Amino acid sequence: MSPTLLRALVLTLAFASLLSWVHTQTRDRIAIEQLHFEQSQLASVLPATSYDAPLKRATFSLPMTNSDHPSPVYLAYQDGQPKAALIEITTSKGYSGDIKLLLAVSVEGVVLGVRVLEHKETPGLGDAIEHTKSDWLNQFVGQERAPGTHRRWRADRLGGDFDTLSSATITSSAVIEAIALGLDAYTIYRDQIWSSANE
Amino acid sequence: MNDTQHANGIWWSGLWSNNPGLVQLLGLCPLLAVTTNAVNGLGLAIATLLVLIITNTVISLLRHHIGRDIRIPLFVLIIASTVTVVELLMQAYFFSLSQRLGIFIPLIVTNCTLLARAEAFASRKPIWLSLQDGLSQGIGFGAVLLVMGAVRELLGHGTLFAQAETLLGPWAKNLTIQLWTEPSGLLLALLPPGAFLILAGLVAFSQWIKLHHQSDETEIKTE
Repeated sequence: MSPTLLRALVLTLAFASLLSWVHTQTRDRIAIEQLHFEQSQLASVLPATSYDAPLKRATFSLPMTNSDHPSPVYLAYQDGQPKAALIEITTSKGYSGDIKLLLAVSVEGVVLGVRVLEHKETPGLGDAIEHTKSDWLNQFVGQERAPGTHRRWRADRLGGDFDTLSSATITSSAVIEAIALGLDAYTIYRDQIWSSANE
Repeated sequence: MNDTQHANGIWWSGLWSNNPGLVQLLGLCPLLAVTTNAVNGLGLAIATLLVLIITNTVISLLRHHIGRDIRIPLFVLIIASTVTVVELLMQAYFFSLSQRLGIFIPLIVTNCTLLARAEAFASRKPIWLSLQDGLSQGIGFGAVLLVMGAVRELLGHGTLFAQAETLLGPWAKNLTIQLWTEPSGLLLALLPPGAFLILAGLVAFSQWIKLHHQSDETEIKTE
């Protein structure tokens, strides 16, 4: 083998072992840090005093009609009593790329809060769905999917009851629809979700 | 040319005469995509500077062991490994910072500035000079990122350093400057075409300064 190639091989092996060594050294720490971060993200959607930390991950994942992947569900209790379910919903109907939401619902199925976890919407328009940029998401608090009210669950520009972000009708509609689908799925599978926590 | 002169040349080149953003026009992908506001620009600037210093130093250190024929794949290997190591270490030991810079770090791999400096400088020069080259090119690129972000944020939102606290911590909340409260600014500045136009404006401005400067010098000479 030529010396050039041999040196290249040695360098490649050296960097590969460096990477795997750093990976094994940092793996556990990163996992712990990530868990802390996820818990704090989940917690931000509910008032801190309204449940006992930490949240439990339900073993049952919620099947969604808009996606092949079931949504993860987290359960919040207070003094042993079920308080709220937190559902991660991903919609692909945004203006650019997926929008990942966290929806908090009460046991009865009323919206307690919504947060956007990830999105790629247009800066200055669609990114107003972030709770740090506008209070648009607050309009969903207290809403529910009562029978006969499904027509209301649209952007007001499309004849529904919900405020539309200016120049971001597609983004608004995607979020409204995702919340509606999440609520519907929760209502259908409510018993499975809450009984899966006790297994 | 002695070492001091050489070093001065490196700084002048990175910060101005051969600036990666304004003259070499390298790293346009992260430059145009990320600079929708000043804080994003600053975030990418810090991440790029950090990685560029390390890759320049490592490549200079290994320059006698890298065969000319296969240098480019090895540069890519070194750059990609460095970026990954930096990302893992940041996640493990500076988690909140990595949450803020997180999206920028993988983007650095796509930045041609790193490969260009490896090829044009670090693979031919001693470690000390390569480190300074990494610093000056990184700061030069970062300055363009910051100016681009600031201009786009001013035109698009009417603010400056909005959400600085997400990058720099809670104390930075006071850095935000609100110039006008009109909710809709010039949207074009925030969209990709605006990024190209503003970069073109910056390049033209820097060329104008250079021409102006040169004609001054010739006048002095003719006197």
